[in-house]
Amino acid sequence: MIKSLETIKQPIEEELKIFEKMFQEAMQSPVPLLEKINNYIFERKGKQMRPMFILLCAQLCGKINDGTFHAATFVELLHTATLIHDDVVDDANERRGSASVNALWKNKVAVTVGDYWFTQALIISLKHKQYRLLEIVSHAVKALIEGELLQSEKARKLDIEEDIYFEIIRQKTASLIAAGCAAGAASATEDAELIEKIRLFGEKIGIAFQIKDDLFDYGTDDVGKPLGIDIKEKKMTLPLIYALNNATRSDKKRIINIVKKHNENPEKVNEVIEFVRASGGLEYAEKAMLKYQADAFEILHSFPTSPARESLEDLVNFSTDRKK
Amino acid sequence: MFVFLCAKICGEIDDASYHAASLVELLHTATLVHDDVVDDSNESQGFFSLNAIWKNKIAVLVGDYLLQKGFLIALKNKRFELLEIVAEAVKEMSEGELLAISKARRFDFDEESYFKIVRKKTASLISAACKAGATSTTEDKEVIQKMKLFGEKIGIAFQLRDELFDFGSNGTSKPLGIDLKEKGISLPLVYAINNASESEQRKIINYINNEEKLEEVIAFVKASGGIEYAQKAMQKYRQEATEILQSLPASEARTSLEDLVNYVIERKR
Repeated sequence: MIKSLETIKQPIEEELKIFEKMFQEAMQSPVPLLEKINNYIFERKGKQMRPMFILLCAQLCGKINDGTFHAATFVELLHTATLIHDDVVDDANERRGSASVNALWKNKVAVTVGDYWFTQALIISLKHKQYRLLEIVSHAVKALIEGELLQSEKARKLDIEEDIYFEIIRQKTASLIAAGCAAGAASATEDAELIEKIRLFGEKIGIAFQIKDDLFDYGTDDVGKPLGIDIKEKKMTLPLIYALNNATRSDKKRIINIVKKHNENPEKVNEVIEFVRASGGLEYAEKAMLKYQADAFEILHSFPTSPARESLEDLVNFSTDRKK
Repeated sequence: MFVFLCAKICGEIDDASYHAASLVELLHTATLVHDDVVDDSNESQGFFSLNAIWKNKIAVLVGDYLLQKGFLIALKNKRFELLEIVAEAVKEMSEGELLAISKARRFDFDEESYFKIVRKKTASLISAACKAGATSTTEDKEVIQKMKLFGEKIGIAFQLRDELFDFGSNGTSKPLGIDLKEKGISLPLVYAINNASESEQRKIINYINNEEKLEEVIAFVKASGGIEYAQKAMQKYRQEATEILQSLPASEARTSLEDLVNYVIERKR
């Protein structure tokens, strides 16, 4: 059974409060406009899955400490900055069911706010001499931008294969969760093997998490974002890639043509969604997601049972069974 | 140039100075690229708007790429102090940009906020370049602080020089008065508006958004002595920058920096 986030949070309830306070402090600014935007974002914060993973991974390996909070703050700041820039890149007007920063304050402001957050995250870590943390997340920072570049390139040519899809989500989504988990572990243990194990766990669950997100685009659940938005943005995800690879030549041509030229037309987008559903693309992607989930579980099961391990297991279940 | 000369004035140029120079240049380019992001890309349909969306995409991505590149180079070489100096500068620039945008929407500039914006938006990077250069060759906190301040002074003077070009006609390649429209802020204008009667203030603020009235705005600024005022301010900052240099022992690097200061003020474009 899938447990609520509230139950999952129990072993780290106090710590999450400390994190929230640190995060809010990190967002304080003497510039009124920035303060206003920061409040807007903070009020619409997401599920904070990343901080939860980081804190729980630290607890799994030892004791949560200042280093853990710095890791959580850095990753969440970086994640938020990335989302703001992503929305400019995708020209998206919505985020988590609300208007995006670029929709409300325009592109220039959104880009500048993202830069501000990135440098703020960097400065906080440098001030606290969190060099280890910076080293761990630096790979993720590189992967994030390279993944975004790769995705933009593919959105132009639409010549994407399964391995490229996995490469993109590994870079764009999984790398930051993996780095967060590793940084959380590194704050609580020196054991390099253990840290690498946790990093791999983060990567697996990050990939599963993203496949779930991509499935929502073809589902009917209320996910706080309009259905078919990936198609509109010419993002080729696993269900569609599978469907295309198993389609007749003429179907393939027809579907790619819609994604290329009629991606703004809701009726045509629906046609793509129906096509993907009919060809078993959703089942295929779900199976892939469950494989990554099983890998993540296997890693967790190599640890002795503890409240932290149990919560992480629940969090893994939540990542793939969530309704939004 | 600022990085290397400030490094040399404080000691021997070494690897750290080269790292400093490349980092400053990378981040400078990144912020320039992000500066190219434009608004209103989703207002009209058609070829032009698609083109604008595509250009924005590239500008954001390339800017981000350069930022992380600089970040990784500094980390790899364990230049933590240097990284903090330039990260602070980028943060200040972002703050300055946002401050300028929010002020420009209502055009409620007093001189204090004008200088705050210029210090953050324009001067912070030159200031960081000078500080980073000095940090690469000396441990002396006092000298480092001096070089940082020098950079700030010359950065502000540089900006004032640019603004004066917008009101003068001495062969600058920039179209006359473009600052009025694009940035909406310059010291001559701020001075002129703050020294005008209330009805004149309202009239001029209305004119600023109207291209046809540009000539009148420029004439108004000239008549109110805004040009002379900004010139005086520029000379004051130049003087202060020079004084900082003269508090350091004479050297080849110092002479070059003095020449650089003169170039900033006396350049023709």
